[in-house]
Amino acid sequence: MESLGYLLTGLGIALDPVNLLYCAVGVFLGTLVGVLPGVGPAGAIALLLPITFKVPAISTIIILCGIAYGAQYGGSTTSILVNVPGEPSTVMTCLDGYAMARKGRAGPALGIAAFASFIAGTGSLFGLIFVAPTLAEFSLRFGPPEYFALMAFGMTVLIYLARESMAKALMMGLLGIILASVGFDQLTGKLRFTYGLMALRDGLGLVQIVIGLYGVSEVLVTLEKGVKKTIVESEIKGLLPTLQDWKDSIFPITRGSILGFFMSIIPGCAVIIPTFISYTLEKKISKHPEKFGTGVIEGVAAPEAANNAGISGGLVPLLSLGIPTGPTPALLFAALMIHGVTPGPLFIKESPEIFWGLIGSMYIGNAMLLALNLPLIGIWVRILKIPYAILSALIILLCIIGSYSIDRSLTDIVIMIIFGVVGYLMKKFNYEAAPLVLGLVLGPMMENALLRSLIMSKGSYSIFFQRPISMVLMGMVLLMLISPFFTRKRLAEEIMEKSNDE
Amino acid sequence: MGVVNKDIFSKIFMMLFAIYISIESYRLGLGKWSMPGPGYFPFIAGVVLGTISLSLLVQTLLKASLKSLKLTEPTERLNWQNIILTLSGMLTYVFLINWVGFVLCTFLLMVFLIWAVGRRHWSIALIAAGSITLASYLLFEVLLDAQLPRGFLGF
Repeated sequence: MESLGYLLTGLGIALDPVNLLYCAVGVFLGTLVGVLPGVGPAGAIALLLPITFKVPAISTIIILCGIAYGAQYGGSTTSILVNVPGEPSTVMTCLDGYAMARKGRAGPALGIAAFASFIAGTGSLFGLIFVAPTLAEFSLRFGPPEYFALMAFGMTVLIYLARESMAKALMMGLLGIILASVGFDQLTGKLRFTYGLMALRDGLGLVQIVIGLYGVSEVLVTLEKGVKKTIVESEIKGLLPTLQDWKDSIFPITRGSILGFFMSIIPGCAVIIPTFISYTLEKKISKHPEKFGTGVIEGVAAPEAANNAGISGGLVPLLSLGIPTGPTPALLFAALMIHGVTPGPLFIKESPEIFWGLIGSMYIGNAMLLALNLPLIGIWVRILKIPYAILSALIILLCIIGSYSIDRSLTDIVIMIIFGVVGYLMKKFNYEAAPLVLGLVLGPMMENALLRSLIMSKGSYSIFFQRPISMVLMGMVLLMLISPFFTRKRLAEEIMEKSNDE
Repeated sequence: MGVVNKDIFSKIFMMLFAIYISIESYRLGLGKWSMPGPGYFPFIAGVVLGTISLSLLVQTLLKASLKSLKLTEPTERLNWQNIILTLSGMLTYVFLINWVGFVLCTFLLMVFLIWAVGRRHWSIALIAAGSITLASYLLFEVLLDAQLPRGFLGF
């Protein structure tokens, strides 16, 4: 009952005209970013961070979360019409979505994607409302060993689920941790790896690195390959799914939402893996599994629900434990820190207006997206037709402004360009960026927790195995890390292969 | 021995980087067991990173000598000039912006990227660059007060 009161207050905050405007700006930009393949939500949040410097913390998180879930809506449009996933989390939507579009059913595919996203997006907020405060309460009992174990667990899950090689993902995670140690050491105040450069004293900026890794490198790769797009040219009509479409997809949407939300709470799981699993699940329990991939509506509805519910799921560990679980939550974390708000176990108690205001805005934002997506589909299609030459120039400019305006420093632009090249090389050699970004954010927190645990235990690592919660988590970390020696195939590979069977 | 997998270079680089970080962290001071120093955490990360890179490197070399690995990359034509042009355009921009100012510098960079890299007609490049520059100036400078560099022209 108490929650209901808070929720009403939150809705009130979100309905404040200024916040309403920010919410609209966020979801609009998010859809735009989602429609355009490439930059992705984490990169977009980094690029657009400067527009939030002058607004209060609550409006900042409203805009940035709007970008995150708006991108999920937009990403599906590109998947369905162009067969290029706008976001990695809409890869599965391509399979049946594009097949539906080719059969002339682009309208219902887009429609059910938007409705599934809406149902999952708003439904999963109930999960967030109940799980986050409970988890925060529970985590007050956590000491440094538990925190270290939890972060190590999150990193390891992300590495374990890596698309390419687990060893390479682990390398990137470690690289992130090393890069994070540049600058002042928090415990001793000593300078590390700065080599007399003033610009490095405060450490390498997360935002510049993310812009380089996700923005510039993406442009470089695309410019090198050249772009080929084939948009389904047929007229899009009948966006509203029929009664039969609803009958076919209502249970997949429900299952996708639940799966997406709960899986995304697990640190490291992000929003991508649940979409694969929900698609595979629907195919397994379907009466006509052979039709998957030929344009069945369940194949669009389930993963679309999963990726939107995953946004709320990912917010749970961020807002209740202060631990970001992937690149997008990592940037939300950084943005809140810029405004002097630290997400953590005390966050919901200390800043209820931000927590509940955000939830209120997510209800409204999802409704806006539903209204924005369906009638405006023509505009999104036209944006897809902008020549890449112009689009890439625009992205480069946004990268420059985004990295400059954090500290008004030209050095930051150079750092961003360097990481653009690094990101390009990483793509060439199949290294993933996500573990690097997570390592960069978690690095200082992990170091702090590790050193404090070691001081508590007078230098003995056995402290992690003497306390029940950290023992379980560390046990799972070790299990995941040694698993490649025992099984030939990893879970992620199996899922990928199964989904590529078509 | 056949063509060496290009991937080897990334692993060698990561290994050398890890060795360097480990040595530097050691110099920073590892501290005592009960009171770890500033180099402790990066040292661990460096050593683990080095070990993984080394094992991957050995793995690749073993495979390469067994099967005389062929270059697996498909030989599609890549426009690497685009990358050089884009990067040098960006670096020139950083170099000139404080002197030339945001508006002119941005306009020139946009024209360059659309015309030289994107190979669009110069008229399209001029119009697109003009609109992008104007829009970004209005949004970031006028509306959001980002205090972009002004240069000798004063804008």
